[in-house]
Amino acid sequence: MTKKDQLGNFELMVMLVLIRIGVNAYGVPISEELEKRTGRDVAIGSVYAALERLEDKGFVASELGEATPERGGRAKRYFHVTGRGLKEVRETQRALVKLWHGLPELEGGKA
Amino acid sequence: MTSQQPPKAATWFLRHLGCSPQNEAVIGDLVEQYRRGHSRGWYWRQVLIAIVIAFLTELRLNKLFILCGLFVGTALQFALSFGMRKMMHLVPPHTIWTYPNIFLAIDIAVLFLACAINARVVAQLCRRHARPVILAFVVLQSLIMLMPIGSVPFGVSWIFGVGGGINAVLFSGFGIQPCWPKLYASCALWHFLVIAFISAFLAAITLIVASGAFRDDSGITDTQRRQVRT
Repeated sequence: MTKKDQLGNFELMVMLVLIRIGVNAYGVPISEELEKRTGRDVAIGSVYAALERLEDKGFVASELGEATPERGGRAKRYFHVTGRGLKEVRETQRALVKLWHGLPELEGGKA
Repeated sequence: MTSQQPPKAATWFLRHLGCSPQNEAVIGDLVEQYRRGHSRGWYWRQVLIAIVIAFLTELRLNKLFILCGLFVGTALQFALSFGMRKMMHLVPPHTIWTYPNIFLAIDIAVLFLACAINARVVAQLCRRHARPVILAFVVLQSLIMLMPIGSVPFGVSWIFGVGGGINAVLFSGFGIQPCWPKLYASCALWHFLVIAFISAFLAAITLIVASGAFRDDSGITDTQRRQVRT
């Protein structure tokens, strides 16, 4: 796996949110969930930039949904995690857990 | 119901300047969120962030292509401006001294024309990534405008395009306006900044409008946009 195919910090967050939402994951619920879980303001532009990168890497796929009046007649774009993406998230999780393990500074919630 | 309508100008900017292949979906999401109670300031902020991030993403994904576009654009700008101004030098000097303002206007018009032709040609050559290439060109021109041009010999700065041309003409006057020579040497910083900003703004507008790459493409679906991109 090349460095290009690895998940960045924000990309990993987006992937986890996509897995959490499951179906019906488009820009609005993704950014809302990210804001809710991280407590930070999230720009919709940065969410789409991350989704675009993930799609280029083959970790995410998308399809066009229905156009609704509350969106000014514009169609939603639904995103879902691919099998390759799910595998990459698992690998990243494994690597992070290994890195986390045995760090007394980070155990027990002490900073 | 007017409060339910997001700022039209902001949407217009995003539709015309947005480089993302998912531009329409982004606009739809922003409209939906705005109607859920976000402020106009929030909408404008999101639009600006979306434009900048999409532009930077395109730059990152197509570095080489955009660099080639910039190189071609700068070379073409040089050739066109140089050629057109050489033609103007065929006019006898005494005629220029008799009608200085007319020649000053023609001088600037020639630079605008060179810039417009350049933008059009570059946009056609780089059709797949016309928006990011032209935006990169605008950024390059604007940065050059804001550089202290005292370090760039007069008469050379115009190779950077219409903005540089206006700068050079306004500051040095090319001997046309007796009140302008040496103005730059003695001018206050705010004079320089005002003229630099006006030049950069005019250059940006010329490039964007003349390129034809920023027309409303909302009729094209995101899927079609992505196909063009690949």
